[in-house]
Amino acid sequence: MGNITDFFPAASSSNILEVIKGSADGRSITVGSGTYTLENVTTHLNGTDSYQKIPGSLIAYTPPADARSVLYRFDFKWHSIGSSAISHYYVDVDGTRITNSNKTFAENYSGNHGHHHGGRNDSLYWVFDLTASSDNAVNGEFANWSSNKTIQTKFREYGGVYGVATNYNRYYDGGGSTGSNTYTIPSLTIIALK
Amino acid sequence: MGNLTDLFPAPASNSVLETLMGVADGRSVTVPSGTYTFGNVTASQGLSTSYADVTGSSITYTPPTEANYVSYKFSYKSDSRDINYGSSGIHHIALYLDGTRVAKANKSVAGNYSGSHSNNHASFTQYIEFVFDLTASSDDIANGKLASWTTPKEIKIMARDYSSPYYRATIHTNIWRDSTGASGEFTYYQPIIKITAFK
Repeated sequence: MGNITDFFPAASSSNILEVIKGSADGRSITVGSGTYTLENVTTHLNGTDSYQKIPGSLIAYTPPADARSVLYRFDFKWHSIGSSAISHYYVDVDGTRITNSNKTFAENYSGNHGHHHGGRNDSLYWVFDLTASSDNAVNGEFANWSSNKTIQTKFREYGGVYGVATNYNRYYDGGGSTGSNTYTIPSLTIIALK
Repeated sequence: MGNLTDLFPAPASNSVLETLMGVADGRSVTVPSGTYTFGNVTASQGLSTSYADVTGSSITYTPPTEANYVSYKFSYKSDSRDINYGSSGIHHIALYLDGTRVAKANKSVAGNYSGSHSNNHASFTQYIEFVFDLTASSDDIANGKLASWTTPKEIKIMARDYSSPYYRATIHTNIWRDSTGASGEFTYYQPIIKITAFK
């Protein structure tokens, strides 16, 4: 017979309940609260003047019952397809924009609309507060989160001559990007904290 | 007297098995799966139009046996190269596992063209990140999928310039510092590797 601590090890001092982290290639990840399937990104997406989902950013998630905070983080790459690529982003939960997640990204204007060199990594994130007394999705606060909520990142471009594409490599291997080099897959992270 | 489980609660369902993180300054870090020594970056690195290993990016890693996913993130600084025609610093980065390129992680990053090849101002922190999936039925490293990972495998980044002499890049570089040209130890920035193994 072993020691009692072999069967009942001391509790971890970590307040992390679970972590979902994956590259968006269609994989399924099982954690304590369930199995989650990430989107499968196989191409890039050009921006328009209307908001649309960045592929790879969506997850329908239910945190563990004792979660008090949930981090959503979406790491992706954007590239200019028109001058400086001024573009706007936000985190959406169940169809509601979280106002304070709003971000605008852009490169410097080249002085010429014909130069589309700028391309960078960026991230959208929000830490949901599950200790609120009532739901306030606009602020990312919830009193009760016991069923799936759909979280995603949406984007649009500022205007046509300053266009942007997400998950995009404009150049690769010394030339214009082709084939599998035209896109790069983003990653999604969920961390539930107690 | 309370219940036994009040005194010895079950471990959390935390899915993180271990995190290996360090600055590429030659340090050694011990985690449950072993001791790992990081590269030692002491200078910036100019690129060329052929792929070369990015200094500080290589690490040879064996995850814990119960790992289902391994995340590798390499954060570094890039600059437009401080030479005539350097301008926007377009460069390509590629992730390799044991010598095989993981194509979906390919990235091309750059600042925007300034309108003048003599303005080499673009300067950013960049990163490349990929989460290897160890739950596959067979190895498909080009897509970052493995059936098992029980022996040491080298993870590294390779990079090249888009072209020459135009739009060249340099990495780990600070061109400016304290309102003037960088000098001494301020001319380079050591990158960071973060590996997380998940069950």
